[in-house]
Amino acid sequence: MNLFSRPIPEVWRRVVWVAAFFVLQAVFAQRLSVFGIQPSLLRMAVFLFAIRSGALPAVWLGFAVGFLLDLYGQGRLGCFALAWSVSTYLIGLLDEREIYTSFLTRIGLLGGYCLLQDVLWAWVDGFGATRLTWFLLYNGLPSALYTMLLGAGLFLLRPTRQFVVG
Amino acid sequence: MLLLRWIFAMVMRGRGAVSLLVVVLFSLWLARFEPLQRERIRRGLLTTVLLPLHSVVTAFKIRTDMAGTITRLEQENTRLQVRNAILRDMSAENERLRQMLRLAPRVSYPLLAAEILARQSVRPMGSWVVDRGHEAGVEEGMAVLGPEGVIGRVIESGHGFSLVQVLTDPDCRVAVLNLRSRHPGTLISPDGLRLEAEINVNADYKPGDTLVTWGAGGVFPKGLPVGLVVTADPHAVGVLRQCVIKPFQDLSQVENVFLVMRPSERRVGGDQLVAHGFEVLTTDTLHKADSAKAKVDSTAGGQR
Repeated sequence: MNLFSRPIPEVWRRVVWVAAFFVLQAVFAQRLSVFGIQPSLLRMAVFLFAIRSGALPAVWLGFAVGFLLDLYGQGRLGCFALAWSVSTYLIGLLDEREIYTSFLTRIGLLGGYCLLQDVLWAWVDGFGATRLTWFLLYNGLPSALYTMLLGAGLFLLRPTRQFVVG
Repeated sequence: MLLLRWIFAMVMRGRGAVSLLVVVLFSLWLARFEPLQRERIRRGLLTTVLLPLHSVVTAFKIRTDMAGTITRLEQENTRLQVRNAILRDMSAENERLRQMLRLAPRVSYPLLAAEILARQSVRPMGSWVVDRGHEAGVEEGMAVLGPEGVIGRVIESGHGFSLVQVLTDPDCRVAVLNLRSRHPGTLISPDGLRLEAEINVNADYKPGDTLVTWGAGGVFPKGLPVGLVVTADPHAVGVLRQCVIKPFQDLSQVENVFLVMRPSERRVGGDQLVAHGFEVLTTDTLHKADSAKAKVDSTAGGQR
């Protein structure tokens, strides 16, 4: 059987989608900025990937994306990689093929996913408690809410899959 | 050997957790790098392994940034073009005003600059509206000058505007003087387009002669340039002859004018007549005459 005639695995197609969202985040997120608060299109895409693909692909993709952000950023290496891999792994545990998550639950989980990433990133980067609180209040929480708002639209386009158990 | 197989089996069962452990440990190891080493790793990876992705992101960023820049530059270009047009207009106006100021030394009265607001649609060369009225001291009968010479006179003054009767109005009459022969004449416009001078049959007018205002009547100060004699008709009509005049001031190109702020007592007749014992009819004297007449009438009615 010819290698190229085989169908592309679903997981790689999703990786391509995440890469596209990475480019979108880098190019267009600044245009969606409201009062300096930007949504995270990349988090939305990775969240959707994790909940559809399970924990194992999620942790590696989370690490890859986090590591890329580390490379593009100016701070300490590994902060984003750790935050993204842990949080994406946790979301991957809620694999939609095994656990049903409703529309509203997904939006709530997306918000928690964003905040958890911020907390983990700040912890690895050595933020103190006060600085972390202010950071979450002025940046983390508004950004998470904005991402949840846009995520709702994405989840409407890509609804939860219904699997018949039995 | 058995231990290794057991470990492998456990790893395969909990691949997700093991992967997580690996990436967490790797991330924590990365976090220990010093700033210099971090930069070296960053630069190394972005210019080798991650170059394709980096190129795509950079290309997209440049393209979107350029689109924004082009839109901004287009807006700025439009704004600058409008500004340029305004500045050019102001420059032309400045030049016109400078030209007009050349006339100022010939007039002994103060001059008031005004802008033409409108020209009458029925008779475009009949009367114009300028943007200065009686609040600026403009009165009926004041002379109006252009950059090259006489234009006309104020026939009505309102608040914020004045009506100017130009030389080509068929109802306009201006006393002129031939600079060469010193013979007077009257400037008229028989059809609202051409200018002619009515002169005495014996007056010496030749083509090329310069005409200036005579000063008679007190409206126009003496000696202001009016125009050149183009042709002088040798055939007399009664006691008059006609000359075609080309005005110095092209009336179709005027945008700004000067109003000669002549004192109100220098009405028709002027103070020369006062000097000769004549009473000049100004607004005040007319009011006085009216009130005196009313008093006489009321007295006569009471006696009856």
